Amino acid sequence: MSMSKQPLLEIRNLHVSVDGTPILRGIDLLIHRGEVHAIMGPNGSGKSTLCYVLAGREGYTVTKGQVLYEGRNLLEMSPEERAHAGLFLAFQYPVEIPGVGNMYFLRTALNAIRKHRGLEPIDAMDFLQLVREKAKLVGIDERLLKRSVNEGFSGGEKKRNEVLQMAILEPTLAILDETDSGLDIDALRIVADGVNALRNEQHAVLAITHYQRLLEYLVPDYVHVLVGGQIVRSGGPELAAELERRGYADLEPQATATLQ
Amino acid sequence: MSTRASAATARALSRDSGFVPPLHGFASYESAAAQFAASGPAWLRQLRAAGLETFRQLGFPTTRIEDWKYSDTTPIVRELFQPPLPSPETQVDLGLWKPWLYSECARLVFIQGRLVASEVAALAQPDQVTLLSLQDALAKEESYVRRVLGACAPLNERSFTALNLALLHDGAWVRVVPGTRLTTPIQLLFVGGSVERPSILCPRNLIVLGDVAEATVIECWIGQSGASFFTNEVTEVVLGEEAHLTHLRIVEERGAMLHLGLTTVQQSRGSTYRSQVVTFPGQWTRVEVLTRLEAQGATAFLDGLFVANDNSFVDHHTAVDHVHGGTTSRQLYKGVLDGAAHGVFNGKVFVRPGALKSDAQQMNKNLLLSDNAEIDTKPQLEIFADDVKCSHGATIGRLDDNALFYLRARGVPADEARRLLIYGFANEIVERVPLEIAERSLRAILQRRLAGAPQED
Ligand SMILES: Nc1ncnc2c1ncn2[C@@H]1O[C@H](COP(=O)(O)OP(=O)(O)OP(=O)(O)O)[C@@H](O)[C@H]1O
Ligand SMILES: [Mg+2]
Repeated sequence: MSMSKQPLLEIRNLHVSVDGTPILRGIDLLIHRGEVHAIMGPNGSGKSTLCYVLAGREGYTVTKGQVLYEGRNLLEMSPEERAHAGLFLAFQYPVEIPGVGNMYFLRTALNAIRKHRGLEPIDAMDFLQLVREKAKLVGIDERLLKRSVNEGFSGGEKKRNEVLQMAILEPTLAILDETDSGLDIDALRIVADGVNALRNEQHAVLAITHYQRLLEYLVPDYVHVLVGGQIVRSGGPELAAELERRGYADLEPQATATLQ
Repeated sequence: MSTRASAATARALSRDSGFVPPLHGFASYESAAAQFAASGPAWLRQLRAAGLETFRQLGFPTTRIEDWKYSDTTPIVRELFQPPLPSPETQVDLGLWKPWLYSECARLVFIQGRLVASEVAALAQPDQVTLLSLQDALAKEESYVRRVLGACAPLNERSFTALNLALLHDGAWVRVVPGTRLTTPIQLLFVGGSVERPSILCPRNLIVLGDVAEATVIECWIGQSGASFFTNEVTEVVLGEEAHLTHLRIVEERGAMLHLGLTTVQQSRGSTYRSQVVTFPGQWTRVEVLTRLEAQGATAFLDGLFVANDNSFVDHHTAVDHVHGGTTSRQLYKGVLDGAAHGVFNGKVFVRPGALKSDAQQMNKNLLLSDNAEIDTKPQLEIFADDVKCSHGATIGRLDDNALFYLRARGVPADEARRLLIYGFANEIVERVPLEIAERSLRAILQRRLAGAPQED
């Protein structure tokens, strides 16, 4: 990547607390268009926290640092503004919304984003065709789409539904929080295909995962290791293989002492 | 007249009975009653007189009466309501109410209590059903009317029912002959209020389904823009053996509109009563549904949805009486309260001694959208029999923050996301509405009401 190009996402020394407890303790991360980044790390290390802060969820206090998205201060934007600007978070735990039909939800989301892009609401027939095509791609049963959002979906179906939304909304920056967890082998490939479909000069992906298996399909450009709220190592895809062998045991967060 | 009224007033007060007389005395109600007192057959005149007498004895209930604990009748007590002015017999333009004229329905339209349109041409089986105003029914099949009127809604200590009887003039009469599965839905549209003065309307509707008859009846209660009125309606329903009635009632009012509705149902063996009550209250609304499951296999489904904002008061009372064993009831009432609205749900299930294998479920779920909104919910089971299956419950919640964030993270603006979630909450009831056009109409009202559109149109 040329240094002169503006990063899509730039996280600088980000510190985040929840209810007064520091969770993220100085994250630095640069993501350019066209790149696929993976973050790995033990349970509770702050991976989801990072995702939520990027997506704009309430309840997180940024105590230090900043986040720029296309050069704009991301942290000042509302969650919907971030979505309009092309940021997408595939949730680790997708939410059930009783009474709201999946199709209606998808269409409302797509039209909200289209509106922001200066496009007319999508025609009903075009929408149906688009959903059909993408549903087939991600292997989601069309009957699921007639139900309420995620209501009564199996764990894997919820994850596929996230990938379906990603495929329909075509985000500039897709953040996948353990989208591969709880998926069967076929679905894993589908997630990877979904990500690879976004893999071009316009888009970027940040994938959180515990498993090297996904990364075999995905082949990230960068792998980062998050431990104790800090990125303790970054490297290429070979780092994932190393972690698989050795675990996180000898990767300690740096400079814990300086925090006191 | 007036001396008797004041004597009654004194009686009501001195007994410290939990009832109060109207603030302006009984005179205006008496003169309203006098308007109709001389009309109709003798038995009806006697009923009216009995109604007036009971009302004069009682006055209006106050919050000291258990059943009215959360329902302050002050807005009714203090207003000087008068009977509607006789309207000129000119042709009424129904175009004003176009969104309320459900296509494919046969229909009666009442404005200010007076029948203005009878559109029965849509009826596919005109010989199997009588769809008339009560006045016309009295002329045509008095004996039927006499058997039903008041049988199902006895006076007891019910002062509003007594008042309805005292001022009884007109209403709708629906009778389906045994064995008829009515394919045409019936709509009863009531438009209340004139802007000249606060009026009282006391329609009485009677719905009678013979054995193995089936029908869908949709009542819509709306008001003239800017009008102030009090509707005190009573609907009596009699279901024959294996009869099935789907009964949707929509109240959409605003501003200074007060509404009290009572539906009483008698259910024979194997009959089904499906009730859906949807209220968008004006200032004050209370709707009661009471059903008696009198024989084996009688089943009642009572759905309710209320959506209130501003300073509205809305109260839903139900009572399901499992008189006989082997009967089933299901109740689901959902409330959405915003602004400084006050909601009440009181549902009673009685299982009488010996009503074995009764099966009753009751649930009330509420969504509070503001800190000033309030709900009093009281599901009640009174079981006097063994070997029954009964459950009840109530929930009060706020919008789910996780769901709200999920929607916003997909680009749905915050206010629209809120609306979508409320819509989703209400949907469980709305999607069960029997007729597509009514369902669409409800969705449109929901959209309008949730969008925070001004109360006056
Ligand atoms: N609302 C909260 N209140 C208190 N602690 C919280 C809250 N949210 C997260 N935490 C804590 O922050 C830490 C990081 O949580 P986070 O969910 O980001 O971990 P993670 O890396 O995504 O873990 P996993 O791999 O299990 O998904 C955990 O110790 C968690 O308990
Ligand atoms: Mg996580």
